[in-house]
Amino acid sequence: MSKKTIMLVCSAGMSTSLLVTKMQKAADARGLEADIFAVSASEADQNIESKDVNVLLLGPQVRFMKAQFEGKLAPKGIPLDVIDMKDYGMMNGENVLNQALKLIGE
Amino acid sequence: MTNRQEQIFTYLKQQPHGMDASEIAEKMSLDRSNVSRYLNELAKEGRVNRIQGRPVIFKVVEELSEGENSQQFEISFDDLVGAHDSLKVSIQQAKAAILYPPKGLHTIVFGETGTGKSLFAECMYRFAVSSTNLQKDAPFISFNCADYAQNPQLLFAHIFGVKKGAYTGADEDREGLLAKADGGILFLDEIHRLPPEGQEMLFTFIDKGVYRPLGESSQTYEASVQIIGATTESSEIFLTTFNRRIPMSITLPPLRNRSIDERYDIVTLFIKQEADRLRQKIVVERDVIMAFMLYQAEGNIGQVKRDLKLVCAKSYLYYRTHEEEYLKIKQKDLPLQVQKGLLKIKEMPDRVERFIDKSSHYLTFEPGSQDVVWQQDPARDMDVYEAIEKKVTSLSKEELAEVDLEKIIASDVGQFFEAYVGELARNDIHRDLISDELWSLTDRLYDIAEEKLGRTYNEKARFTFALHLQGTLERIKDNRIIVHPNLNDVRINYREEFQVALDLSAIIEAEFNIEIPFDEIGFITMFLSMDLTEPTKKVNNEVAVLLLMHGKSTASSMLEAVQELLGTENGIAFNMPLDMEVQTMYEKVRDYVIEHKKDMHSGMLLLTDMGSLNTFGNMIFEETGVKTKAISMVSTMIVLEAVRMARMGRTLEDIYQNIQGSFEGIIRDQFRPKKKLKKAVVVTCFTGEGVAAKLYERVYPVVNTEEVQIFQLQFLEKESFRERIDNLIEEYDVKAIVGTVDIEYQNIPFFSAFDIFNGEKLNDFKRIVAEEIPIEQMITSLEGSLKSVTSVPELLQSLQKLVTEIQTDAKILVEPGVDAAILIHLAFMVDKLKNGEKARSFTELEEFKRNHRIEFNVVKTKLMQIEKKYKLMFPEDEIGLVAQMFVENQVRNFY
Repeated sequence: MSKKTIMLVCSAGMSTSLLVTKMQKAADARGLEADIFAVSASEADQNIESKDVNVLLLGPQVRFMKAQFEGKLAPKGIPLDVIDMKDYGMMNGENVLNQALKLIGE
Repeated sequence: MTNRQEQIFTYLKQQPHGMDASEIAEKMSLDRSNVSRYLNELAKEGRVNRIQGRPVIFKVVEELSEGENSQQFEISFDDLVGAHDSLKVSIQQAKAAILYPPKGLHTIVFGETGTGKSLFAECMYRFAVSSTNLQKDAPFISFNCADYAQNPQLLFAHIFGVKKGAYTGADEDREGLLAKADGGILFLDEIHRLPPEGQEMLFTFIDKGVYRPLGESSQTYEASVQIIGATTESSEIFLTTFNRRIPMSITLPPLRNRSIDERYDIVTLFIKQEADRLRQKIVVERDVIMAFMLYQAEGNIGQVKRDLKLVCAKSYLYYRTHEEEYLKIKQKDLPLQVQKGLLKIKEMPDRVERFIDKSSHYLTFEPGSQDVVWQQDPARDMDVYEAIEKKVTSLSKEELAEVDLEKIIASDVGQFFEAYVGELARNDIHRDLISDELWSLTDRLYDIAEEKLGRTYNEKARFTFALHLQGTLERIKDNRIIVHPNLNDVRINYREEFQVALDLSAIIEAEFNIEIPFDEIGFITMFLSMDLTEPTKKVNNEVAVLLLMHGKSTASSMLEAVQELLGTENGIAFNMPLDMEVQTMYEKVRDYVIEHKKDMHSGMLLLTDMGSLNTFGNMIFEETGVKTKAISMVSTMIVLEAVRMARMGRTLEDIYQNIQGSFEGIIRDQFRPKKKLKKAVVVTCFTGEGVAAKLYERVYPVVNTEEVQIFQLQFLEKESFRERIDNLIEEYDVKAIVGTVDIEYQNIPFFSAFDIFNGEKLNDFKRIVAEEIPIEQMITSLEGSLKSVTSVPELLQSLQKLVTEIQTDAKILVEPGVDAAILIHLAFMVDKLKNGEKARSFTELEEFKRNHRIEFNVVKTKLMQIEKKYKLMFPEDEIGLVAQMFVENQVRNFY
């Protein structure tokens, strides 16, 4: 299984950083090689260009940007979704990682 | 059909003006009475027209559709608008699903009504054939699971087949759709309507490739079929089982997510298609194209197509009756809803201009010879045009001179349109719930009521009544007696409606051979007097808002602020400098009212600050006769609310009650101790048991009843109902009201019965009553990560309160779950700011503030508590970003 690059986007890029840590931990525990990072909405575009992102997850507070991102990601074939509210609220890294992997199709 | 008949038909075809029976008989040397019989047969089939007169002339109906010289092409993905843009990914997925070895993947297509799911499925089939993954003659079977949803057994039998003797009436083996689709594709539309046993069998088939027809116990059958399912349900709530079993899911975008370029292509494509079908040039006003590109079509592309078809039919009528050279479509011919699209031009001027040169006022669509055919296209039929054509031809000979043709046909066709449109407006679920019999009865009853009462009732009203009637019939059948507590009041207050209700009841009695008691008739009366019409035409009936205040410019500056906030000029301010006599002030106001009396027939609302001004209300009413309500101790917020509601065309009483109510609400909130309330939803109707019971059944499955209590209440009259809600609010957190009569109260989201039987609205409802994430769990998850604050629980609790307050004050209800996300966002922001980390910039801050000043200010003020407590400053940019989260994530259509 190749390395997975998972990008999280929220309004500030800060509330998701805790989630990133927890997801990374979950990935490590499974022996999964993953590059997980969080950025703010304004930095997202640049990262989509520069990194080989496999999947993008949006924080629930910026779910309104989904359509906008869909337009940008569809041509590249990168899947995206809004992070499950419950998992986000409880910072459940395990579940969010599952969500990301499911979107990639694994 | 006999040979002779065809011979006569062929002969008649060559007679451009038609011919009577004896002439034909003579010319063809046939017996006259036989010819006559054949002609009548042909007329019955609709192939020839009888032109009344003496003698009767027969003429071949001109064939409009399917001309011999047209080339037909089968639809393919490349023909779809947006194939290389918004649909690109979907098409790639679809192709992958077809090509996937060895036999393709089963696929489910998600998409709102009218997004083109069945068209898409047909394209998949065509692709499979052209890519030689399917044989040239492989079957493509299409079936809508809603068709037999009333009868699961029949549905099951239809899909999987049935063995002789499986049930009474099954007197032979019949093969199902799966067998018919062997070697090809089976398209199951509205697959979510499949009953559980059907789902189970379908899954067995998906997993193992085998199935068992109804009544077959020993043997299983095999078939090689690729399943394509389609559903309007969104994948979130859609049965997870489906998601697991069907490997490929494709979502088609709703119209609103499509680009303006694509909308242009869609509109022009459809007009072109109509031009082709009619083989006639269509000239279209520039604004018509614009309106169709921009209007909000809830039914997506399907609706655009239907709306265009109707407009074309109208212009075809004009073209036929005025013997025009070609069809013309003008802006004024458009339905109002479509015309509204033009209001959006200003929002996107430069983008729209590039499609159509500003100097050209018309666009011309010439009929071509190529016709891309979509087999199942419902708009393909030519019924509308044929109906017009028939009428025109049948009248043309004799009556042409005297009669106002257009008028005659317009009335006929008008009815046709209405029936056509009305039919379409009813979505499948609404239709499905009520038997056809009851629907047609309801329609009949309401048509009578409309005529007698000179009033129109919309689809919502009819639907609700049909539901109610179902309940009534069940009650009467079971001998359950219902008591109408205010029967006499209803009789007196709604005399006219009561009369009509009596007439209608007589019809119902005759239809079902029952006796309807007076109490039930009382309820029917209430349905007739209920106002469910859309609030559209009240624009000129606005309540006048007058603001009277002490001080040189207090009133005018307060009103100015409000007007600016709302971007309106409604309202008028009267300043009373402290040296002004009360008498002078009174005369000033009175004279103003007298002068503007003709604009005030909806009454006026008098807002005052204190003292003698409060007493003006009654005096002005007595002197001028203008209905007046006065509210004193006014604050800016009250003025804001009053002007806002007046502008929306709400009635005087309504505005008055609402302001009083929200006042009480505010005061109560201040004193009420905060405790954890159990959640509740209220379902209501006039009887409290008829429609309400149906609503209860509908919402029950989507509500977690351990957490949420459902109350079934009777709604007879507004006041007492509000009182009951007030009582409930003391004990419960009322999340939503679902009912037959629109209730706007205490800012509780309201869902109409019509809404709740609509999948998407039900989804909104579901989310609103969904469980919240308990704050304790959030605290646990964040513990240890917010290092700069001493107590995480304390921070989260105060932020939670703040998020709630912002929603109340800014009148925003955010999507459930988003509030928790905002809360977490704020918590981290506090932490970062405490650590002295740099804030982000919000580039569109100024613009955002301009457009959302109220929301911005509410957020800013509320955050001040936190600033104080944690000794920090929120930069404007961050505040703007937070406000944006509230604004952008709100649930639409509440408040």
